[in-house]
Amino acid sequence: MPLADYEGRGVPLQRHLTQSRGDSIETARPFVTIEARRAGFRARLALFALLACGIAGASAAPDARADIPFGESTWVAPETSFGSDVAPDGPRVATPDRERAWEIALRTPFRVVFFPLRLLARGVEAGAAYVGPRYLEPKPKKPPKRGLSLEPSVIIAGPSDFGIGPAVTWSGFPTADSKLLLAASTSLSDRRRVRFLESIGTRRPVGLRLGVQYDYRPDRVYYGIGNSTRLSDRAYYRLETTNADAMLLLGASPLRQLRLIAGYSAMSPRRGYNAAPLLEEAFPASSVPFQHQTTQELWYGVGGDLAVLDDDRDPSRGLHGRADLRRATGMKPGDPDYTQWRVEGRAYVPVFASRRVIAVRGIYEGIEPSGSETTDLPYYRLPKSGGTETFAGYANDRFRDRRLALARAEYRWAILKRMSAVVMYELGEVAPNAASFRLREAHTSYGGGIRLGTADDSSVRFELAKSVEGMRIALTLGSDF
Amino acid sequence: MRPGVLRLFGRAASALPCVLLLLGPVAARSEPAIEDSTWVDHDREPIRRPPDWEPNYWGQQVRQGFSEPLSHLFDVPDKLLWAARQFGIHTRDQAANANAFDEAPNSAWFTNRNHRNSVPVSELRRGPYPTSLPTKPWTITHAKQSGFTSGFQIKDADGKKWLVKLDPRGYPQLGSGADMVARTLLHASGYNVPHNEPVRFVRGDVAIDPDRLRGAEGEQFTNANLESVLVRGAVFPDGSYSASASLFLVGHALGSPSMNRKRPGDTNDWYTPVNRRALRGLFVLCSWINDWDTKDHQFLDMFVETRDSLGHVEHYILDAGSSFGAGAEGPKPRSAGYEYTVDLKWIARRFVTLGFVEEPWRRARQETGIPSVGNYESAVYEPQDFRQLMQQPAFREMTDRDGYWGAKIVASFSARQIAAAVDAAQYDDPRASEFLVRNLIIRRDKIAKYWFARVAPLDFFYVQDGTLHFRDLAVDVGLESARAYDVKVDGDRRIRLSGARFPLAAPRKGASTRTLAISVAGNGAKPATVDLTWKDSSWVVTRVKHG
Repeated sequence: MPLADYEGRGVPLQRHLTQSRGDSIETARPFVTIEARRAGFRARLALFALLACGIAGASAAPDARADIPFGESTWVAPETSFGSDVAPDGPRVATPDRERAWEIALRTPFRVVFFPLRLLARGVEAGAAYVGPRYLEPKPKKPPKRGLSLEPSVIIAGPSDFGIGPAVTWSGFPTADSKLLLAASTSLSDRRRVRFLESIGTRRPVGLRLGVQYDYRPDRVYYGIGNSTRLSDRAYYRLETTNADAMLLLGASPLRQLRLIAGYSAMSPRRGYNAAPLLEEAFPASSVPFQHQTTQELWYGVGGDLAVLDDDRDPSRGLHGRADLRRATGMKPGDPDYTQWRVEGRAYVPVFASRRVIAVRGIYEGIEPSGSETTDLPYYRLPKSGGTETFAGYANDRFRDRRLALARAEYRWAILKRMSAVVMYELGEVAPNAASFRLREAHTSYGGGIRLGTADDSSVRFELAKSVEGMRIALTLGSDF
Repeated sequence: MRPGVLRLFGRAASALPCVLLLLGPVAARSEPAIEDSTWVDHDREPIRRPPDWEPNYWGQQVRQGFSEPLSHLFDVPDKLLWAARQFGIHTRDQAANANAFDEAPNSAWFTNRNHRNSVPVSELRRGPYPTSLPTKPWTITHAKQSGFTSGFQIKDADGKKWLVKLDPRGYPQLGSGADMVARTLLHASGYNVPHNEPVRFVRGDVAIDPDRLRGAEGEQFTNANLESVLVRGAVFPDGSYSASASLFLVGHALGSPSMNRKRPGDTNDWYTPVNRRALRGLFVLCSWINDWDTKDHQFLDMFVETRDSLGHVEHYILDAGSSFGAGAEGPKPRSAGYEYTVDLKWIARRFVTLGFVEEPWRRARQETGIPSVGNYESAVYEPQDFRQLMQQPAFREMTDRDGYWGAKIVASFSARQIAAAVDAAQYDDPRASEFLVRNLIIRRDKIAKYWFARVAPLDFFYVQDGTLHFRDLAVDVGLESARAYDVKVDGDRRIRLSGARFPLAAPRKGASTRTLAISVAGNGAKPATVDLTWKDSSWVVTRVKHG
């Protein structure tokens, strides 16, 4: 835009200009130079004399320049002249700076006391210095790495359930968009896990997933069956599980997907160890159906997710429904046949803005024997309050029965990008059948925490929840709510 | 003694003068004199090149994003010092390198320009350097090694090395324009900046160095890599790409400085960056141009060789592209310039109010709808509330004197100068120029109003004909009408002045100095203190202190 336009601009600019800022284009300094060019030698001589006088006069008579106010385009500060002094030698303006003695005296005791924390902070910074350039620095996108790779597999499922082992990944086997994973781990509490997973066409309209999992745990917890079991009745058992399943996925997004599933499940309960008291010592055999009986099931089913959300990672508005239905058939005499289902609904409502959300979640899960083999169901196959159905203020696997209902309402508000504070209230109950649910017998939990949305179907949650059985702190990686 | 040993001693003794001659500049150097009235801080003494060193980027991110804020939250001495300040006790450490006139002398960090001697409008319009664009065709020599904007290193047809950074897709001239305007203003303010130019190019102007295509020295850059870079770049309607080209600085790059320590091996580096006037006062300029991503790695130290492998270190502000409404991948995030990435105060406010507090950046209408400007505004902007992405140590140490100094520089720019600086970006969209000029003026005036209300803007003292003259900057820039002043003479007498001059009587016998504390009448701003000394039958201003 031509500069001249700013001389007589209209209101928007003039409002911010005052009379003293309305400087003109022609100024004293360039005027002399322009005149000298025109006039030739004599004028140049005159110019030289004029400038010489000007320089002499400038130091003695700064008032000429003082007429030009500060902030004008031709402003020159009076008095000071530092010319073109770029000589390397010369004085320094001050001695090197040092922390003041009294400040050293004041801060030293606190530096000593907080030294371990400082050391920790420096360690974290050094860790970031190592990790950052290798994993966080934006790099030109390269084609995905194909072939075999070996990595450690770390599993943390509880304060005393920390497992480590190798994980082999084969990207691009058998097709370009496939991935094979084979991981094994063992923990300090002798929990052993082996997992095989082949994903073909993940995030495509049609995908296939094949999986085999082996899980061995000697200290699974059991409180009995029913809604009124006592916390003091805790006992332990060993459970060895082998599952194999094949899943046809229709729909690229896990939030909008139909799943056709079939599989095999073998569960073998035994006498536990590494914990006490044992189930056999605490409960009579008659109260524990299938106490030491292995069951093998073949099952098939259908499941699906349908979500209409404004943001898949941090929804503030919308609905999400999920359902799973399975039919299981016992493979040997005595193994039960049953039908199992799980239905979940979620709703998100903004509170005058998307950064404040009321999120509501309801789960109804059940299992019902079918066929004539038996009407009993193994205690280890009953729905229980653990994993995604944990009752917030209660221990994992605290309640189990043929039916489970869980309802949670929480208020989330953003405190940082992708991080929300949460306060919640929850009701959970188990019952032998749908007619046995009683609202007044539901187990309540309330509390709050922090939620960090990490991916479409995953978040990290840190939560403190209170119930009649005490306070529970939980850090959940990969929570899907 | 053995003859052999004697010969060895003899040889060593004869070599000694040569050694001393070679070491002359270093060994014979005496400590420079200290003169606090100097306008040039001579920190360009020839030295040997310091070792390359810079703080680790990610380590600094964690330190300044988490460790330092948490540390300051629980810093008991800080709380005690804050409490002491409420009782009027001066606890803040003033800038270490301010001279006797409360100014930053010229140095390898800063050169006094616009607020002492207005930069001509024509120079501002041209930019800090004579216009010189990378001549085509370009040859790509390396991928861009770091940062979030896409780009590459090139050698132009004249053999000069440039770094080309593309504007984000859909936003031509967003980053390149912001960088040009910001750098022009920073240079006119006094800071060292690199030679950057907004450029346009087409695919045919660019070829890849055969060594890079081959993958020589373990570094490969293929046509596919180039396409993946270009696909993220902004395109003009004529199909050309919009980018900024930065000429490699002269000298050897030592790395970014750390604000918390002097450069190891640089014997000229006497003052910790956090205690430098030019860096503390930079906060005010950054708030003016909304440079929301100021961090250690936005600076670069260059070793400039002058003679015989000796030289000195020059300090540059390398990257000002994250200014105004620009971000690396489009308009800047709305919270940038208003909140730190981890802003404990705002996190606490949001936590306590259950999310019902409304942050200034939500209230502000930042979306300009102008692709080359991005998200920028001045209606909600408050100078004291400006926040970068990460807490800058130098900004945290800023005192009122530092802030006033920075505000003085900002206020020194006239509307014509601002318009010329914006013109340097050569925006295609006329709305962009008009919007930026208007908002820079509004922000300039807000800055001046805020800081001139904290520290009396009485400056540029000189004595002429027995009278002390000074300028009231607030009146000069039109924020205030002519006003009166109060002068406290030697802490004793109080005199009311109707204008910006104070007649000085000859000193009494035995008294050769005088101290005047001058404040604006009826105004709570901290006064300016002037020390005068009687020399050669006249008074001379020997010291000035603002606030």
